[in-house]
Amino acid sequence: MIGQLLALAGAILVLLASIGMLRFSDPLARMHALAKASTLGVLLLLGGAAVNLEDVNDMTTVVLAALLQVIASPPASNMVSRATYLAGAMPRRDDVLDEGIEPLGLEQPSD
Amino acid sequence: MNAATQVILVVAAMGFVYRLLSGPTLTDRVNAIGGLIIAGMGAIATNAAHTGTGAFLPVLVAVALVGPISNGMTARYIESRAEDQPAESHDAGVLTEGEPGEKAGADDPRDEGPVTDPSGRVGDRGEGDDAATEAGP
Repeated sequence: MIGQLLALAGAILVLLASIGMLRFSDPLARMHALAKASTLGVLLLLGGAAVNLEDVNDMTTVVLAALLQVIASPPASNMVSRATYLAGAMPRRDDVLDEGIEPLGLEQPSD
Repeated sequence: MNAATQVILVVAAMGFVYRLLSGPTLTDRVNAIGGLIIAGMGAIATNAAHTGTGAFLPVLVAVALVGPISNGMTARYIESRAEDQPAESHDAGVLTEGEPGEKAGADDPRDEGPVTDPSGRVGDRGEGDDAATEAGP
């Protein structure tokens, strides 16, 4: 029962990430929506499965998968967001201070 | 309750598929593939917990390793594509597919992504709208 509740909470987090991917306006906002589900949502889903399983071998396999996902997912999200920013996909606004332009060598907005 | 979990995961995967098909930038497509991998991992784990057999759990470990690494490699690819462009036009056509010339002719090409985003959503491909409206209220 507890495992099923945990898995349901993780699935709801993945659904919220999907809604965020559909509705947010720029690429980094959509990445932000997904990065929550790729750590906490997967952790809840796999933790719920690990609570439900009986065999110790299966439980340790699920825990290993959750550990690998939690270790590997945030650096990948960081790399993708950095590449997105460097490729200039972000909309630049005049009323928001963009502190990455100067140290990363991007040009100032023309107007 | 496992059935409800799997139905929620399927609805979330439909939203990711919509973003994969009509993402304005390459980053959105990469993230949509990541979301699909997450939904698949959740489905495998829920199915294993439901049936009590752990035959598919090594697949879970392999996918948990391969998914973020492939995201990182695609990030390297996006970054190298951005560096190949000249400095004054690195905001036009690097991430979005299509001709760079028509983007350079626009008024402000940096506003291309968010402007084209709502117009892409009102198409008649209805999966994403279903996913957005089913959990709306």
